[in-house]
Amino acid sequence: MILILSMHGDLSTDLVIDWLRRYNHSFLRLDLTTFLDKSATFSLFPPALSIDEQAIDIHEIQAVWYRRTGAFSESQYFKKHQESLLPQTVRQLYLEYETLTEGFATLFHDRYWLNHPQKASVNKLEVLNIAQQCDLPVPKTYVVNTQSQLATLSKNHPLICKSIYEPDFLDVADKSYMMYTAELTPEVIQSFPQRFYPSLVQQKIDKAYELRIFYLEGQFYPMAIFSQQTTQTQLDFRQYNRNNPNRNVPYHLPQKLTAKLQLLMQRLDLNCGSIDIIKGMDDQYYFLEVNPVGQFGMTSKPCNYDLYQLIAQHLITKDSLYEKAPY
Amino acid sequence: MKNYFVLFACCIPVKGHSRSTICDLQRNTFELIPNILYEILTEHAHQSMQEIFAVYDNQYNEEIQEYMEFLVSKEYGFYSNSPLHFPKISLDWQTPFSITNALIDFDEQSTHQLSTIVPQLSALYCPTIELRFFYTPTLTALTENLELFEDTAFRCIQLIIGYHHDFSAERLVKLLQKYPRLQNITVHSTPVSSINLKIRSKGIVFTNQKITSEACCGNISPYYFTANISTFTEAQHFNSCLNRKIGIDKRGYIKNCPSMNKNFGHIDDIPLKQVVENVHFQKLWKVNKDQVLDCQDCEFRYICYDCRAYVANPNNELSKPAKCQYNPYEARWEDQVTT
Repeated sequence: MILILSMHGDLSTDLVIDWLRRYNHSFLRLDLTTFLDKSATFSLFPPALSIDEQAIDIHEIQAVWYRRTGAFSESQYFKKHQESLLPQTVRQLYLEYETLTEGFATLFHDRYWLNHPQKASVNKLEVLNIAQQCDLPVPKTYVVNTQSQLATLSKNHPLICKSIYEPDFLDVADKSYMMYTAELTPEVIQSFPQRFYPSLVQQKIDKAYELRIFYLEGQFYPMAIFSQQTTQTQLDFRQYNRNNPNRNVPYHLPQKLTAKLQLLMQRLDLNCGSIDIIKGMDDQYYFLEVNPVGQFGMTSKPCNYDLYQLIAQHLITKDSLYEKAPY
Repeated sequence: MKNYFVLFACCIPVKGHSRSTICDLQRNTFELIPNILYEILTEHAHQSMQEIFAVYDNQYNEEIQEYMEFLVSKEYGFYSNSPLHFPKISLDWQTPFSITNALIDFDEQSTHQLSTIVPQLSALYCPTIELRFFYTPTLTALTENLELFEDTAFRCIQLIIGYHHDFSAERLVKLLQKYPRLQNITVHSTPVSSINLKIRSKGIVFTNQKITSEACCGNISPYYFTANISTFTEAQHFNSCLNRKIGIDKRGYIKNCPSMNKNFGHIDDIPLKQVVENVHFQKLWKVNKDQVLDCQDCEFRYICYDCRAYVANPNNELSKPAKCQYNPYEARWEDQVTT
């Protein structure tokens, strides 16, 4: 049986499950907010799990897909108690939940994992550093907090800034806001105060196009994004132009690049993820970042890769082949 | 100057008898092009501009250049020095579902119950259902029907109902909001002309068209052309209307579509699963446009819906849809005055 750790309403999970059903393979879909919102218990010795008073035979589970799990802030528990608890208490309960999420994984420590909660949140700076060691060209990267340093850097090359952590962070009145990549023009830099919050600043690369590559256990599914055709998407293709969407087409990666990316994924101990790359006007491939639990529907559909089916097949193979642990 | 012209992989040339199209599967549109341009874009796809000029004895350099400039300006393609980085898109089509859509008809005399149909289709994980009422059901009856879909595998419900002054936009919007699966409501036989309402990803249509029998279906017109990756790839291999469809007509007979003559038994007598697994029931699924007379030579064949219920020659089940007015040999819509 395949265990799927995912959040409520995640469409990618639904679409993989469609295929698991088609292949008649058993699965259990679990959102870890279950531990906050339903009756759920697990035991470490001997390993056991029960949800809604129903025992799950965890020995049946040989493969686990860590898609993503529901955020603490989306749980019924949080919504119900956030007003009545002190912020410090909410923070502590959040950390308890986070640690539980990671700890839950030890129940299945000897099983096959497609992505793993402990590796799901990569550090952008560390990844860039490792990418550099893998001989992947990386834009020059700085963390800066003064205007004078920024002004000095901007004399060498044009700059952009982006989030150090993940970019999505704010939901207000039904709208979501994120820290898009933005250009630091001399005028913008001028407008800054002398001291500001530490910010990730990178050399701006002139793009021919961008690549979004889905990686699954040694296989690459690359897509080229022609984000340069409209100004709206030039710096950040996530500023989608819905009326005239960017051209997204399948791509063929040069062997040299896949070898380096393969090495990078091994060094990061990731078996799945979405990789972002810029193909520069100078014909270089610049590595930007990797997101282990990113959305892959945006790659699957335009390129007709049917990644949902591939993931389902992959999980079934692992679930069937993975050696049963001795109990 | 970059040497190669490359079509974006989502812009696919399709050759017809007298002209061709470029089907833009990302922007849901198409462009008519001459067959000579089709030839350049397909047979000479991996040749440089200079090589292409030479193929045509350097007689048409300017014209070819102009074609390419046009395609670049419309964002169908681009120039590149590394065309091999841009492979074609796979035209495979796969679905996890044995049935992808169901069409259930009702008139005032209908006796078949949705309550016996919905659980059967849900057990087959059918994602989409269209409920077509040739009359005006009561709001209570509608609500009762929609309640049946709670906790089912369905993802999308489309509703076609006859007009009643009670069916105000406000009331229908409330229905759309209450039932997350309900995607579209079409109200037919309205006294006023047509109105289209968009509510987020959902829609309401009021139309004065009278959808009072299954014979209203099967129309072929550019209005119904759809250029997207899933319909285009499905049409390469399967029938663009009937593939993995199941229909139940107003008398409760199970068919490939309610307009077909042939039935596979009555809903009260035979489980839907048994019909779906019947190879005879699946036969029409595999009739793609490449097998249909006239359509096989038409430049619109993979963005057009097919109809096997109303065919031009009832004695030939592979003849073109009866309600198609297009003649691909003359590149002309029959009701159009030739100029």
